[in-house]
Amino acid sequence: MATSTLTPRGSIGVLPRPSKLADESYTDFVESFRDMALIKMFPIMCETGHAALSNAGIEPTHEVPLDTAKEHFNRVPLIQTWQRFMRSAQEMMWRRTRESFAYDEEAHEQLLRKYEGKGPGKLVYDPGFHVPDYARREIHLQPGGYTDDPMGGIVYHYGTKIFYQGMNDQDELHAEVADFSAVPADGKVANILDIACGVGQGTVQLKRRFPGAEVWGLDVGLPVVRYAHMRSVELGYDVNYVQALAEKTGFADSQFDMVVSYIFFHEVPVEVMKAVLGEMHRILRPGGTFSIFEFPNHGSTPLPPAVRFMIDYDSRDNCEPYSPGFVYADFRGLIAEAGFEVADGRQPTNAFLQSIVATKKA
Amino acid sequence: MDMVTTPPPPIGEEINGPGRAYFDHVVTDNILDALIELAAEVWTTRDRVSVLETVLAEQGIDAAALVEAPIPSPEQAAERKARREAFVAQIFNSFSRRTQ
Repeated sequence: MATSTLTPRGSIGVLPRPSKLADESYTDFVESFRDMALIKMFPIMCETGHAALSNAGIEPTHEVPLDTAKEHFNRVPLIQTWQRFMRSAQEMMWRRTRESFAYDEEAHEQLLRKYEGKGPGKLVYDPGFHVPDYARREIHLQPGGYTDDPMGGIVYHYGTKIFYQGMNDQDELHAEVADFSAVPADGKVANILDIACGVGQGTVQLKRRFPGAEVWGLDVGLPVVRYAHMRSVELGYDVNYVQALAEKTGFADSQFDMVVSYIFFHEVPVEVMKAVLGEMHRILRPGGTFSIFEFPNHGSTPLPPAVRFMIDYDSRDNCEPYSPGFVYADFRGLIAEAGFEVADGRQPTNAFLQSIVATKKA
Repeated sequence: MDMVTTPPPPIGEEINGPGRAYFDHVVTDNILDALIELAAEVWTTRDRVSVLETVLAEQGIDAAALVEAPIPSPEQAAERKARREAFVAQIFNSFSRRTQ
């Protein structure tokens, strides 16, 4: 395990283990605390917010302007508290996770460098690569985001353990995404691309499902693809990684039989989203499939004030700057505009996600 | 190659900057932050003692070193999780109880 060499306390299966028991206990606490805020308090927040509107003589319908909803919601003590709790939990998670894994940054850097020359699989990046400004955001409040913290790979990996509330410690959700990704109608799967692959949890699962295929993971963040490569080498998966933009991959026309994306599109501006869809259409061969597992997307569907309040909160205070643009866009319409046939994909266990299969017309 | 047009943002701007305040008086935010941190630390200490007791019961002597070693069994992890959630509920119950 790559992870076993990174901290003195080894790993828990395929998950790196914090360097101190105290860090593990602290982040466990944050996970439970966040569960409480999400599971117990969020429904109460919705009820009390709508009650505050009703008490002010405003019917809590989709027609209430967001600013009006915010004005009334933000006067409710429980809603103030909920926002405080969610923000504090997220900050605590990243601070302690980074502190635990960055106890020796130089040693970590040396390890990453050592693995760059190792296989199976390869890591491709250009030291002069320019990360666009839109991508240099501390998404989810992660220090340095995906792009600017050399420790970003392992910090993201353990941080998302907390985000997933323990449901993905052994990459279970990524395994399901790989298993549920759509195979082209002719059954030919020789080349697969995992865009916005992060630390490669889904990429290795695609290789597990399709051991004979050439599998690539692509991400804008060098810290995450370096870590992904190291982890894949240690896990024994022959997969390749490249630092590149999903809207300008550098791959050849019609190179791939399958492309997969997992909770990616809500993290880019709408204009980039359109460019990515065009690029995926270019690099897929006729009949190739693009499996998209993504956050819900409401388009112009009317939403109650509490849901719009939550989307706004997440955008402002959990550094999801592009998520409202995605949520209110006609995502399926944009996929079709890019030239794909659009259909529902197989629904993952996580019912929050939508699953779409975009097929390049043969 | 495009030119870099903006300097890199400092790492941790979001969590180490001025942060967010949600109450009319920022002291309320601060008290709550302190309360959460305190709770995290209390839990961390409790957890350590629990692990220490387990280690002592099972193996005996060098507790300071041994306490960093064990990986909990699925059953032990489930038990710890249940106790942790009860602890969270105990401390933060009032915030859900008084909603106005």
